[in-house]
Amino acid sequence: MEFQKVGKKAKAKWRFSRSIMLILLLIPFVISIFSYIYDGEIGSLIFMIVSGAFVVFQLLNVIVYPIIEYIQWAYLITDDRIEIKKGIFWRTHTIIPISRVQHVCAKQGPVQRMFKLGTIEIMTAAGLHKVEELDYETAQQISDMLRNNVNNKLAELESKEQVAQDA
Amino acid sequence: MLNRERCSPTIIIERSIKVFIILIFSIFIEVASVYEEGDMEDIGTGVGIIIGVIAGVALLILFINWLSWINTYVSAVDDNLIYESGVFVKKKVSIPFSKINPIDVGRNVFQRIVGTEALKIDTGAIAENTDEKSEMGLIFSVKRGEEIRDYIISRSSQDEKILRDAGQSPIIEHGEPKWAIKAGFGDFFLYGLTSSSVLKAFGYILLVFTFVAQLSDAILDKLMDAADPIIDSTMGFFASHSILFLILLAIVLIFIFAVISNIINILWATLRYFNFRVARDGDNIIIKYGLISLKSYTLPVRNIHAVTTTQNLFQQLLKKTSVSVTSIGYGNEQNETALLFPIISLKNAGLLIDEILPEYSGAVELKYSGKKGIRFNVVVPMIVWGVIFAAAAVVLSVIFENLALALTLPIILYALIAFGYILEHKHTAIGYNDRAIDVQSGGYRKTRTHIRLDAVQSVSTTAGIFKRRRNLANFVVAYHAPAMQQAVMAKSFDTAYLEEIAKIIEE
Repeated sequence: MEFQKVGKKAKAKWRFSRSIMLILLLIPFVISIFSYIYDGEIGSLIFMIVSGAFVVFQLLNVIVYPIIEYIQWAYLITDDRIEIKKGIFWRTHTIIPISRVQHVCAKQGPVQRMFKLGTIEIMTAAGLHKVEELDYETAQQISDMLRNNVNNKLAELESKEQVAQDA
Repeated sequence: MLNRERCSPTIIIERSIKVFIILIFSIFIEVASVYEEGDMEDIGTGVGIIIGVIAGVALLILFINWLSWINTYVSAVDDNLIYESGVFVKKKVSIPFSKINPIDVGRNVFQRIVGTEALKIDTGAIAENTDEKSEMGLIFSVKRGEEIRDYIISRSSQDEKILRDAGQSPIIEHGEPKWAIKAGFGDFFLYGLTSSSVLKAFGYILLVFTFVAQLSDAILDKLMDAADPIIDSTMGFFASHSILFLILLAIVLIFIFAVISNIINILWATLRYFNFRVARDGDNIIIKYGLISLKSYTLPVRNIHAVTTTQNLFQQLLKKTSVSVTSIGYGNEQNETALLFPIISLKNAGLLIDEILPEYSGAVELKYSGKKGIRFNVVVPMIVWGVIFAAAAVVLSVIFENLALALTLPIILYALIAFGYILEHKHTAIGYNDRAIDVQSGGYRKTRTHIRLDAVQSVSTTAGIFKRRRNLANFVVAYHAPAMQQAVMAKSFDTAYLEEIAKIIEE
């Protein structure tokens, strides 16, 4: 089986939600520009440089990072395990055995709803793992499939244990 | 049997005293500051008012705690332990005996005087985003407390469940178990000696100083006045001696300070871990210790998911280690560690595990990061630190106009950090077999965590672009543990191990 990509609208969703933050960061940056033009003080200049740096980082976050994330983020679900690949510069590869899944949940936030995307939350006894920005329908299908896989795996393990006990 | 019953009424006084002490303390500080400001002209009237207020508050606290006590019950119904509490909002918690985790028994000084003991019962449940604790604190007379403890342990035991299912009545054994190992004074001495922290001692001094400052500005002013000539003469002393002499003097002073803090630490370890003993009793591990405050906890073996050995630098040199376990329901609070033994030689630690936790015995062969990882574990961080310290040295030399002084501190710190990274690289290892995964990490504080395979929940790798080019990654093994210790990390290992580990977990 091959790794699957996140939803096609994920890039648009990331750009939209991060643009909101960009607008919020632009406010102090614009104020600092006017402030520096008005008083020409070193404090205003430092404020302008710092807020400008935040704006540049957020611009990268809006324009460049979604492309990299879309290429690098991936997931794989088999009968035995869930694999999730994430990250931009530092890439994380997580493997969760199906038998360790406690419960699965498909979620959709307001912005995700606009783009018909969703997140699958996979809870284990050691914490939460997320497969984000999937097409919502796919997320629901995967969530149902995972539930079945978990139940099947647990039944398989229980029967193995029973056989071992009987022996 | 556990019919519906209340805790010992001494809980009212005990809880009231705790609140009362804090209250008296704040009133005392407030009065001291008012007195200093000279607002209280008629001292007699002021004292009368204070005594009246204190008496009123004391009665109110006693009444609140009495209300709480009279509405709190514990009972056993079918297969559940029932805990009822709440004055206005009634709360009834029902915990299946099979879900009960460690039973922690403690006796502080007050409880020893009045002949009671505190039972802390934990389910290990973690309620997300709430302050609710999974624990319930009960106080009973020692005799009744022991009976209840034995009853709960026997009800939560798997053996007992089998007997019950088979229609037979369970046998509850009382009395002391056969202790596998007891700590002696030599152990406390070594523990105190090797776990000493000069920084901790500095912290305590700072705490005392802050306390004095809070208590009275006048006292602080006097202290500062007294310190002024000392500071002046010290500065004069610094100016009249060479850098080398001052460095040697600082080393001697640190050594003296370390010796004093070690002595304090040995005394503290002796008081805290006095008569430390551990035993295996059926499905449980029993641990007891203490001189002034007595402590005893029972850890069901089925809830132990990992065994950890921790060694600081001194303990590494002496080949000693402290052994703790990760048990569900124990370790949710800060500074709460399920210690299996405070200090023991590495060889005896193995024998101890063999005897009381045979489920965890057996060596796991460790794979080390090796030469491939040294670039990322030592060289790269040291280049980064080198740049930082070089910049710091330049700034210091400009400020002090003294190159020797500006170089000394950064070089010493750089050497200490470098040694830490080298040690960490030397220790970092990962190992696995069909029963467990071992992760070893840390430099000055080396830890090895032996995780039961069925407790491992996921395994992750994280790598930047340079590590990926060499097929290396940092490994994180997440396992079922209390909230504060859910994952262990090993840096810069071959990514091929990920698939191998995933396969053995799945099996």
